[in-house]
This record gives sequence, C-alpha cells and structure tokens, in this order.
Amino acid sequence: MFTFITDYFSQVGERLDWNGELVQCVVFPKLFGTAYTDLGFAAACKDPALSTTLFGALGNTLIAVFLGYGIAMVVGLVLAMGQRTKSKILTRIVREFVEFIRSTPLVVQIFFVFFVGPQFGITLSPWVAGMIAIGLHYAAYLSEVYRGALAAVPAGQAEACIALNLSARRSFFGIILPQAVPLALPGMGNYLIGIFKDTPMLMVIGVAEMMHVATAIGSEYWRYTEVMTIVGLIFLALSLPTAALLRVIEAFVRQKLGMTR
Amino acid sequence: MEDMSQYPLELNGDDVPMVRFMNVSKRYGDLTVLDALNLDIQQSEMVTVIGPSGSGKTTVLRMLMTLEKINEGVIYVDGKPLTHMEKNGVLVPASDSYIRSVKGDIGMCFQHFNLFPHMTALQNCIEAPIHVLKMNKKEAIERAEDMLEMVGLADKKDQHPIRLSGGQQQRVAIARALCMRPKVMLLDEVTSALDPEVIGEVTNVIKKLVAEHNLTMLMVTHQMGFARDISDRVCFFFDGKIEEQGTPTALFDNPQRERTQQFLSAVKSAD
Ligand SMILES: Nc1ncnc2c1ncn2[C@@H]1O[C@H](COP(=O)(O)OP(=O)(O)OP(=O)(O)O)[C@@H](O)[C@H]1O
Ligand SMILES: [Mg+2]
Repeated sequence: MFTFITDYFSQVGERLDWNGELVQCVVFPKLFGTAYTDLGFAAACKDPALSTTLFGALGNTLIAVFLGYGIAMVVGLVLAMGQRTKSKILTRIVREFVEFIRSTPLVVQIFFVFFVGPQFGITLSPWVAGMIAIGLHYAAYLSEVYRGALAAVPAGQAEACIALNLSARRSFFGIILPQAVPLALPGMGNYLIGIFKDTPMLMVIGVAEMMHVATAIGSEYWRYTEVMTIVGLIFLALSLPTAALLRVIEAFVRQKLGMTR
Repeated sequence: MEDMSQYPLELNGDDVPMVRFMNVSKRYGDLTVLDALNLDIQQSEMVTVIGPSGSGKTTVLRMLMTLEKINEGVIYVDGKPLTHMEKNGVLVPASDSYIRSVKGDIGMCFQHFNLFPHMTALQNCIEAPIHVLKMNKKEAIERAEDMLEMVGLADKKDQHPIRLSGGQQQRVAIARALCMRPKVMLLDEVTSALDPEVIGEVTNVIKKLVAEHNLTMLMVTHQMGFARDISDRVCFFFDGKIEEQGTPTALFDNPQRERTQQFLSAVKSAD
C-alpha cells in the first residue's frame, strides 16, 4: 500500500560525474548513509559539508540553534537590562543598536560578520561568524521580548522591593526577573522556532547545516525535489513538537513559581 | 533654588519627632500635589490621614517611603534627614546609598498588598531579613514564623499568595513589613481592596499592633470608625494641605473647618 513512498524514495537519478559523463545512480538509499561521500564529489570540492550526511547536518543545525539561542538569551538579557538603567545615554545607545539589528536582514548580517571582519583583521571561522551573527540578531529580538515581559511585572512589585530596602540587584534578579520568565516564555518559544528556521541562512558562509548539505546533494544528483521535501519535513517534524513542548514548559514554570492555583 | 541653610543637619533635643516633614512640596509638572507640608509624628504615635480623593494622602506616604522624590523641603526620620544628606555643612539631595542606609527604619503596606507571587508567605517574610539585614536563614525563619503567628496565619506559611484570600494576603504583607523591625510603619488604604467581610481581620491585626508594639504609624484610610478607634491624631488633608488636625474626638465630633465638616458629612451620608 505504501509502496509508492518507497518507490519514490528509491528512484534512480542521473548525475554528471566529475568527468562530465552522465551516470545513473540510486538517489535516496544513499542520503542517510556515509556512502554518498564515496561518489568523489567531496574530494573534488573539498567542501566540508559533503563529508556529512543529511542527518549529520541536522546535528549541526541543532548545534547552531542551541549555540545561537544560548548567545541570544544571554546577550538579549544584557540588552534588555541596558534599557532599564537610569543612564539615558546608555539606554539610547542600546535602543539604537537593537533597532539597527532589527531593521537589517539576517543574511546580510551573516555575510557582514564573515566577509567584512577580515578587512579589519578579524578573521572568523564560518561557525564563529555564524553564531555571532545569528546570536546577536536574535538577541535583539529576545531583548524586546524580555523588555515587554519585565515591563508587564506590576509596578507594585518594584515598590515592595523599595519598601523592604532590597538592593537593586536583588530586586531585579530575585523578584522582578523570575516573575517575567513565564511572561517571556511564549515570545521566547516563537524565536526559538524562528532561529531554527533561520539556520539555513548560515549556508551562505559554508556552515555545514542541513540546507547546505541538501543543496549539495541536490546538485550532486540534479534532483532537488526529494531532498528539499525531506528537509522541509525534518523542519516540520521538529518545529511542531517544540511548540507543544514550550507550552508544557511554560505551564511547568508557572507551577514551579507557585503562580498557578 | 531653595536655601538649604534653613534646614538643620539633624534634629537634636528632648522631643525629636520620629518623622518630620519640613516645608515639603511635591509637584507633578504644573500640578502642586503637596504645598509646603509641615507635619511631625512623635515616637509611638498613631496618626491617621483622611481626606478626599486626590488630596495627596498617598503621596505623603510614598514620599516618606522614598517612592517619590520631593521637590522642596526636607523629611527627617528619627532626627536624621532622609531625603537629603550632609555635604560640606549643608544638606544636599541624598544619594541612593544614603537613602538605603536610612530608609530601613520605615516599612510600608500597600492597598494591593504587593506580595511576591512566586514566593510562599514564609519566603515573602524572610526575603528582606536575609538579603538586607543579613540574618541567617534559621533566625529569619523564626522571626517570620513569629510574625505570621501574630497575624494569625501560622498555618498558611507555605502557601503562595495566589492561594490566599485578600485579607490573608494583606496580613502576610503586614507580617512581611514587621519582619524588618521598622520604627515607622506606613499603611496606605490597606483595607480598600478587600471584601467587606474580611476587612475586620486586617483591622484587628492593626489594632493589635497598636496595642502591643510601640510602633510609630502613619495610616491612610477611608474607614472613619476605624480611624476614630485607634488613632492618637487624625489629619484631614484637603488640596495638598493639612486643613485640620486633632484628636479623633475633636476632629470627628467637633470639626472646626467648613471643609472638614463637609467631608465628614459626605462620608457619613455615603455609609
Ligand atoms: N505619577 C503621577 N503623575 C501625575 N500626577 C500624579 C501622580 N501621582 C499622583 N498624582 C496626582 O497627585 C494628586 C494626589 O494624589 P494621591 O494619590 O496622593 O491622592 P490620594 O489622596 O491618595 O487619593 P485617593 O484617596 O484617591 O487615593 C492627584 O491629583 C493625582 O492625580
Ligand atoms: Mg491614595
């Protein structure tokens, strides 16, 4: 009954081999194995991407998500706190920085960090450049989520902190921030999925994430439909449960904080 | 610029009041909320502030709690300036660290309780003693349990605020403030957000406080009966000034000023 699926995934494709001759090859059984490096394409291109499979690249994609999001969460908090200080100048500078990042495309930022850095003597590997770019980009967005969540904590909480003579540090980290966490989680979840879906942009500087490898495979066999379908399905298969998982986490955090009945 | 040399660096003598507002003015833009307020509150005195909405009652408490900056004048607490500090022999606006070193003498309870929702009643009460007074956890817990006992909530100590009724939350808030052993306690309409049937449990706690502790208290309330019962002195605020003040009997039974009479009869007919 489902043979059409297996048929589809075991189609014979054609590719030009490196000598320019048209050869036939089985496309998909090789997608998930190490076999496809045997084709010699990698050796010819010396592209690190091609030493990995699509699933191997998925690992890289996830690493990129966690590193990039980790950077974004921490830097985002710094950016949000920078806009809560008494210093008007600092607030202004951080504000402009956030606006600047939010009003330029991520791809451009990735290119910029990778290719413009060397002009000033800063040479970064694709991974480092990619993580800085995507981390800062999402830090700007997360800082807005944090800022909104912090502002949504009732003013009476800060006043109670003053009345109890708590230090500014303790008030923020002990009282205001914990209450902002459940408020920030939905927005944070959106951007977690967002960063996941934006990792393909890292291919422009040669980070071996899924899209990079998929494109390489596609060009290898001259067939893009199947491999892109699989990439799309992998993204879908991970995004959907993440959204559900985030709702569970939010409920859990609220309960842990004692903020549900 | 205000001439600061008219204000003493500190108050000395036999009858230094616990709190002194000296020529204190507060403005929001063009709106003068308090106009050259002078008010002394003696050690252990219970002073109640009444008056129409917008007359500046809350503002008085908030200035004393340093939640609002003042525009003119000086506030002294226990003889020491609160809003200002000495520099080269004159008073200058106080730094944040100076304010923190003085305002520990003051505690406040709010209309909407402002308990920390992510902490249990007990955690609410030990938070400041541990982090501000640097008490060890065991002592802080003992003190907090005593205070929760005093407000009749020993059995609710491990509940989060969301599971407590309004009256219970307000009593936790009172216990939390008392755990800091303030010399002056500020109560801003602490029963206004409560259902009528639980108002009594909060006013009873306050009565007990007045009877058993020698706290100095400044309270804003709309409950005239309660004010009459427990106050040493009642101040009637009108339009940013003290229109009239006196003992509860004098003020409630024999008000001298026309505005006081109007206010009291308006309140009475509303009851
Ligand atoms: N942050 C603010 N900005 C501008 N005006 C303010 C601010 N806070 C208070 N006011 C004004 O100051 C005046 C006094 O306010 P306050 O809260 O002290 O009145 P109140 O006597 O406590 O009134 P109520 O009985 O309604 O609580 C009011 O006219 C109010 O509108
Ligand atoms: Mg008020």
